[in-house]
Amino acid sequence: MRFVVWVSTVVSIIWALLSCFRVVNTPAAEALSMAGWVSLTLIFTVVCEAVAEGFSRQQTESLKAARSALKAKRVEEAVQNAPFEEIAATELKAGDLVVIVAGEIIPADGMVVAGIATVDESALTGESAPVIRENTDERAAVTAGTKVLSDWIVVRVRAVSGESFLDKMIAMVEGSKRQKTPTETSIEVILTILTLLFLILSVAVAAISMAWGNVKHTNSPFGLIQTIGLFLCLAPTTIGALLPIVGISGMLRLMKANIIAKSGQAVEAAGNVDVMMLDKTGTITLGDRQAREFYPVEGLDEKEFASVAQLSSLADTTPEGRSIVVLAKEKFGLRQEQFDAANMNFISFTAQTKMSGVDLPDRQIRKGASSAVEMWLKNNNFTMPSVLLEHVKRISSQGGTPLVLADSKNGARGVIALRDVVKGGLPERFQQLRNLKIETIMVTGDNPLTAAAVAAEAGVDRFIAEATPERKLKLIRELQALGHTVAMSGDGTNDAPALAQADVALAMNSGTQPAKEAGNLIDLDSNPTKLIEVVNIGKQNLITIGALTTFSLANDIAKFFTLLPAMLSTLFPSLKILDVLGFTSPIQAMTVALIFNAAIIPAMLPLAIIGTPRPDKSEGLLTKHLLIYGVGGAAVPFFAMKLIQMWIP
Amino acid sequence: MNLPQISLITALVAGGTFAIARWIEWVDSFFAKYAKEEEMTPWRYLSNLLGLSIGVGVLVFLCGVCQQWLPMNPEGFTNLKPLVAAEMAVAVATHTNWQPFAPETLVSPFTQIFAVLCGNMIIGAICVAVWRAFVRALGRRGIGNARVAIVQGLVILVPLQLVLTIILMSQAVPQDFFAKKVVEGPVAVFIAGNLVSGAGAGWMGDSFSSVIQNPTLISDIASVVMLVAVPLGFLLSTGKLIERKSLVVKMTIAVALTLAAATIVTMFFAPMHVYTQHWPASDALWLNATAGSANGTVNAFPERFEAAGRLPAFLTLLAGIPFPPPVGLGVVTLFMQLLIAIYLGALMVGRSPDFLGFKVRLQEVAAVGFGVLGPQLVILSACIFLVRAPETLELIKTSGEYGMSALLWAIGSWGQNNGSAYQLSINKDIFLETSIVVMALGRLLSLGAAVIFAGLISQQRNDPPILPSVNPQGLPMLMFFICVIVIGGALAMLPLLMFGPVLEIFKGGI
Repeated sequence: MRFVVWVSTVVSIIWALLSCFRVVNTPAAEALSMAGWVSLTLIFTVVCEAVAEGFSRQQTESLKAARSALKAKRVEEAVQNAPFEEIAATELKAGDLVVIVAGEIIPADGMVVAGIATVDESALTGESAPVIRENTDERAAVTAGTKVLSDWIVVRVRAVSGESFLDKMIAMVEGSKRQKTPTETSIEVILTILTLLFLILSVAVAAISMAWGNVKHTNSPFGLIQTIGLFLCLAPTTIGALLPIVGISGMLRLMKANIIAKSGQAVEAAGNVDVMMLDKTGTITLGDRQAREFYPVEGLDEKEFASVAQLSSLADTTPEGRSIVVLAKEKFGLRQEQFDAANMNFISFTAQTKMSGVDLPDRQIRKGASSAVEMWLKNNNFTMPSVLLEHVKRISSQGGTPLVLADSKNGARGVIALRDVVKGGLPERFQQLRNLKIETIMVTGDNPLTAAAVAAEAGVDRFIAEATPERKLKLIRELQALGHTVAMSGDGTNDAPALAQADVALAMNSGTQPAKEAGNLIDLDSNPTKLIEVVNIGKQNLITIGALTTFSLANDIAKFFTLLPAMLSTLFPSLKILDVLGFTSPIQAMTVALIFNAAIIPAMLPLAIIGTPRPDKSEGLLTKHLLIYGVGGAAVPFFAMKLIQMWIP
Repeated sequence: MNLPQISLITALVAGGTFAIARWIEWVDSFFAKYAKEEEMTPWRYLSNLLGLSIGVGVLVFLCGVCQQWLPMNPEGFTNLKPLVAAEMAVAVATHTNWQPFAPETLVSPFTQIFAVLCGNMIIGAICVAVWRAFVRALGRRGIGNARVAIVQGLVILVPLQLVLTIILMSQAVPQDFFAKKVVEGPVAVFIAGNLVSGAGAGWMGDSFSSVIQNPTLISDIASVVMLVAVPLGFLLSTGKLIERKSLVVKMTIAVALTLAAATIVTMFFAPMHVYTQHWPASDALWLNATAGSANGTVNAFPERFEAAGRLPAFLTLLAGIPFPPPVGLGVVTLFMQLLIAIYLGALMVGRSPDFLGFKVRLQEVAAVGFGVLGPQLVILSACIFLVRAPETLELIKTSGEYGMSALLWAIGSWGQNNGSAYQLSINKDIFLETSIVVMALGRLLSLGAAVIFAGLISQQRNDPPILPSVNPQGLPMLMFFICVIVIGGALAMLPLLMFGPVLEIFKGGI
């Protein structure tokens, strides 16, 4: 597209210059004016390209700066003060150990094997808040180009130079290397065919009007420069100029979400997802069991029971213990403001006792697993009431964890039900996905009862309980055989086969290497729920391309009806009746059309950059977009050209 | 507007479409059950079709240039000039059947029957073969074997030809292989075959407007019903064969309604000059249907209608709008346009484009692009070439906008392999030479793209089907589908109309 706009502009300028020297017959003022307006389309096309290039250059330069001139301190042992050998980062091999201390840049992608440090990853993600990196499952992955702000870490190199995330991110956005999505490529083919068609059409219009002019012994309204103008007005210059921006903006949106796409196809497939498989633990639920209900023994008030439970958990730093304190506070406003810490001896949980609690001057309180507390009660000459045993059995069967609370003075006091908690806002997001006709499937290794309870609470469409890696893989294949596009997220080695099979596979950066290799998208934040964001970005990209293409083609209809009758009215005065905008001359008609044609490119630029609004439901979406971009695309030029006409004499 | 006429014709077309669709389905199931066929590659399939087309062309050419030495030449016509014979040969081989002469004054019954009619039936069967490959591909059965497909095409078309022949004979249309005068020759079988196969053209120069060919209201109605019902029958039967009956029924209704709308526009603007022997509704339907189905038969020359009345048909002809879809091949074109509509529709709901359960890859897009827009490129190029010729300037000088319209109609007719023509002759050598190239290129692009498209779809037959990105049967999508075809066609061809047909409305060309 750029090529034809360039050629058109150069030819118009040459023609205008020739007219100045009276080498050609066209009036110089007319030719210069036309050449100027033709050039405007080129200018805006080039501006759009510059914007696209600017976006990518800004990002790639930041990334490249992070990559350049990196040095590495290679060590033999994973300790802070081990002797090191300083080498160029490009010489590192997978498996090498490197030590990085505060103020230094991490030279290669890898996993922290020793130490802990705060790391500034803003060069990659744009996120200014530093993150903790240490040798734990969630926080071990580090990326080349990021900076250690405090302390030290030893990293085992995983990806060598040229294959690091940094390199992949640069390739994602760098204009020349950017992987286009399949739709971008096919739209380009359509635009090429249409450009050829409109080029031949413009020449045909010029040729026929010349023939008529010949017969009527009058000048044709379509000289070379007008023919070029007609061609530029008809050619899909708007979508042609904006398409690269849409592509790059889509990639940048992904990068802003801290996601690396391994291929353009993965980004596009994200828009097609109609089944989303989500792990229960960590994705749908927080992964920590938390207190949800209190079940006191008969005769004991629930508030009183909650107070005892809270008291027993005041010094408990585990998530479960903290959640008991919070639940008592939320449910009954209990704060234990007057407890006497000096006379209390908190008992920590141990693997041997399977209980924790508190020793007060007048009694001992214990909470823990049913069997352990039952034994403790027996030692204190109490028995477990059968009603509590029933609670314990029921809570267990529903996938919860029962904690029995007892004291040495009154025996068993009740049961606290701990359950995994569904992440906040997820039911609403699942409803949103349902509106977009995306089915959610929760996958869990839990038993069906537990799975059903969590699934109902989260609002997923269905669940797969007692899932194994093989079963996940089989399910994805079955869904794909039915024509579904399946997305899943995963981090473990056992997820790798399913990730490799899924159409959209979001691997966690904190995950294992096989999982990352199997995924086609990698989330640097290791947040599995981001799959929903990925789907939204994919859809938004496709809608933006479709909207701009339809709008651009619909524009042509209006241009035909406004431009052609006005242009041909000098040759055929009877056609003036069709000149709906009432142009004063063919030059005015062509000038107005060219200005509109050029101006619509920057006018649509924000849409290309920001993207169309993200859809919240699929019902009626087609009709809505057809009206906005199809009918609107046909109507807008009439109004816009009328406005321009009022400005152009 | 005459509602009883419209109602009766609508009922007959609907009944005929249904009956022909059932016949096509029955023949297809018969072949599926009993025909043993070796699957061909798309290129081999295409080369078989093109090879046979060339063979038919050679046969027609040889008969034309040797007709004075051949039998069944009661009026002793001399051999055709090589250029005229070549033009006739390419016209038959490309399923266009556009000739700038009155056949009864130049071509012997032998050439008409054994070259032109047989050629037209075979070429019609080739169109059916393309349709069959596409239908099989959509049904995930492979594209099949071209030779079997051509036989199946003949098995479908020949009985329909016989039925129409009998009806026409019952209305006193001549049918005599050994008549002393050409006009009294085997007219019924000839015109029935040409009409059913979609090749068009008539025994007489003025085709069905001749009282010899079309003597009664019944012959007129039977012919127009066949003209519309055969193409629609192929479309309707496609639904069952690809197991998408509901979608295709709705597509058929949408196509029929658009055709009806064009017909009503023609009737509304046409009362002044309409051919008076038969019903205005039949005339108007005939004009629009022959433009859409690329059939080429006329029962009233376009210029008999008011300029505004023939405008829809003009656009249909130039843009190749398949309402109704030309026999066999046109169904593929129609589905290609459905793909374009689904493509844009899918993007607008945030999905990658699909096509009835198949992926839309770069190759499919390119094939559809050239299949739909290729003939338009050829027509526009021909316009550029021809308007520079002195013969064209002479035509415009002498006939003004009417002459320009006749030329544009002729070029459109060549490029879209239609075959219909204005009464005004476009018969200079340069027009004949150009028509040969344009007809051949138009045919090559549309036929080639259709077979390649079927082959590409067939490549995916073992892949799991993709769920639809948009509901192609929904009212918004069906309306968008019609808009894509009509507006898409208008995008390229509307400017051409300004120089002839629109000028005819507003006058002032010369």
